[in-house]
Order: sequence, then structure tokens, then C-alpha cells
Amino acid sequence: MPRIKAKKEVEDLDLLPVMNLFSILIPFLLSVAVFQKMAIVEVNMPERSPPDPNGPPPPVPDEQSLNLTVALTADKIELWARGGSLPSIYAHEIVEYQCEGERKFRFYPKMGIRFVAEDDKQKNWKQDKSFSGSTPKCLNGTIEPTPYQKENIYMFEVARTSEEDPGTLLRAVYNSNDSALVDGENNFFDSKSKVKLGMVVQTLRESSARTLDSKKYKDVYEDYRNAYDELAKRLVGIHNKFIDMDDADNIIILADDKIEFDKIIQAMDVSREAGFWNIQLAKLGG
Amino acid sequence: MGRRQPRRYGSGNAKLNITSMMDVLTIVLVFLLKNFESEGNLLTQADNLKLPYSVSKKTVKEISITVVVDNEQILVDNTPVFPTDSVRAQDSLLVAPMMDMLKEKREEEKKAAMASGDDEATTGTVIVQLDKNIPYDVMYKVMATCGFSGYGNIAFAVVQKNAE
Repeated sequence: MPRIKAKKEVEDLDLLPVMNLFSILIPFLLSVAVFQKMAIVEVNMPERSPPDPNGPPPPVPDEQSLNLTVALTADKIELWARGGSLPSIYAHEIVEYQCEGERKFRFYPKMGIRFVAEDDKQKNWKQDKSFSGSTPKCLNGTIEPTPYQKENIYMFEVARTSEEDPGTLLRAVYNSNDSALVDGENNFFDSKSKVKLGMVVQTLRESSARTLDSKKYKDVYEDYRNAYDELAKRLVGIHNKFIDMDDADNIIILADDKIEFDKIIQAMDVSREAGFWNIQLAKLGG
Repeated sequence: MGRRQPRRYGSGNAKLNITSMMDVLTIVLVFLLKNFESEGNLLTQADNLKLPYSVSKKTVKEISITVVVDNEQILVDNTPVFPTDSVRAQDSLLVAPMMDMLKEKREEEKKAAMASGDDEATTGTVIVQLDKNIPYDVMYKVMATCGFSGYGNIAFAVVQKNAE
């Protein structure tokens, strides 16, 4: 067998000038890199005259208008369309706090329960049995976090059987992008055991059906069901049903005085993703 | 004692093997170049403020007046004008000191627009940076004040979710 003769001496490339270039370019680009991009959200001015404070907005007799209104209050999201009221979405608030130099924790004001994450990914939350009380406390000590230390405010959907029933939290299954998974009929899964490897699932976005391979399945997790996901589901349904109406892209978002700005932005995001581009903000009377 | 043979290193002049380092640096460089934005930043986030996350992709196109509402005070173009707690406490819809300031700015803008021959009647644009925990009450009063001072186009500053 003829032997391929390797060259004894290989000329080395002189990489030093390139290195020089790199060591200038990298610090420069690092210094101008933007890691947190900012954006804006545009809104339309609230109506000059706020709607009737004693009830839902007055029904408009016009057959061709949708008049979709979403009202955010502390424990429910109400919907009105075509002058009539739709079933409300009941929700309980769970607030994620971060005290200085600590890990995040969640607090459930209605039940006085504190949750701590059991893993570093902060996706599996377990009740902190050592805690009791009706006000949130930082993890080490007795300091109460200020309202401005709220990192996230979650509205988790509850199911209620009657007016007196405080409700039980519903659950949903989420993927690695924190989008809720639904089956073919847009129903949420209420337990991770119902989501099987190799199943076709989708999120609430259009044409999002995917087969769960083992890599995606690994990242799927179960959590309380976000009320905004339920709102998204309803709004998508309404938008598809009344697409021919004159004001099919309009939505009015009402909120009461105590609702935090973050929740309004979330509601606006959900509306926009469902196809309601023209968002008007107004105040819930009372 | 057996003397150890001194080990021989190549031909004498050692060379640093920087090929693998070059690989790493090339990847870092490509990543940073991809992130590079030549537009610059028209919107700078105020300190002492947590902006909400949003999926909105809209970016600022032109420089406009900025109103910042954090947990302590309201600032119009970086000048503190009024404490936030007083806004919450007041009953009236409009925040008087803020309105005076905004009207003044609006007049200046109109004059500048006239001087450059633009249409002075267009509504002003204002970017409002609100802390994510500001209650709707305060937010509504700030919006109304902007609207009544001639700034009808209101945009809220947010941080992009999954910035890629």
C-alpha cells in the first residue's frame, strides 16, 4: 500500500493580527450590546365621559356592532359583548415577590400560603409549610415586602360552583415558553398525566400544533391555570365568530382603581394577540 | 540518584496554539454582531423603575417627551414635578403641576413646528414609563393629564419578552 507522505513542516498561519482585531472588536461590541430591548405599547385615549358607573356599559341597539368590553377587577375578569354579559372568569391572585438578596417566593393572599421553588428553574412551586400568616414576609426574617417589590402578579383561574364558593384553583400544562397547551378543541389539560409523549398538542396561537417529542416533553410542566390564558381562549373565539362586524377589531378595557399597570399590559397583550388591535382604556366606575 | 533526562520541547521556540481560542472568539464575535444595533437607543429606561414585560415589538421612531412615574414621584423629561402618593390621594382627574409643565412643553413644540414649517395642529406624542405596580387610578390620571395638555398619542414603555 502506498503511503501518503505527510509534509513534515506545515506553515503556521500568523493569527496574531486577527487576535488583535478581535480583542478590540469584542469589548466594543460588548459595550454597545443591548440585552434588554425596550418597546412601546400604544393606546387610544379613554373616552371623555366614563361609562355608567352602576353597571355594564349601556347596550347599543346597533345589530352590526360587537362592543366588546373586558373589565378587570381584583378577583374576576368580566366580559361584555353585543350589549350582553358573558360568563365571568374568576381568578385568585398569587403574587411573586423578590426581597433584596433572596430568591423569589410566591404568596397567596386569600389563603395565606407561601410557595417556594423547589428547583433552580423556578417552575415547580411547593407550599412552604413553615409559614403562616395573612401578610407576605421575606424568606429570612419578618420584613414585609413593599408593594413595589412585587415581581409578578399572577391571576390564576378558579372554578366556582356557587356565589359563596371561594373556588378551587384550576391547573394547566405549560411548555418551555410558558404557553399553555391545549388539545384539538382548545381545551386545557388539567394534569400533566394527560399529556403523553408523542401526542399532538397546540398552544392558543394559530397553526401551532406540534408533536411532543422527548425533548419537548421534558420541558413540559404543570402549574395553576393563568386566567389570562382563559381570557385569550375566549377572545380568540369571539374574534373568529364575529369577524364580519364593523368593530370586530375593537376592544375596551376597563379596570378598577387598584389594578396594577402590569395586569393591564397583560390584558392588552392578550387582546392584541387575539386580533383586537384597537384598544381603548376606560375606567370602571365606583 | 538517577538523573532524569531533561524533556525536549519541540525545536526550542515554543508557539502558542491559538486556533481553539480563535474558534471561541469567532463565535462570540458573530453573536455580538448579530445583536448589534446601529439605530441607537431613543428610549432609555429610568432608574428606580420596573417596567412590565410585553410581547409588543413596536419600537420608538422619533424622540418625544417622556413622563416617568415611579413609586416616589412623577418626572416630566427628568424633572420631578409631583409625588406619586399625592396623585393617588387627590380626587380630581388632572394633575395640575404636571399639566402646567406639559402645556409649556407643548407650546415649545408647536413653536418649533411652526418655525420649521410643519403642521402645528398635529397631536403631540408622549412616552409614559410606569412602574409595573402603579395602580390603574394613578395611571388613568396621568393619561388624562397628558390628553388634556395636548398630548393625545400616548405610548407606554415596556420591556420586550423573549428579546431575540
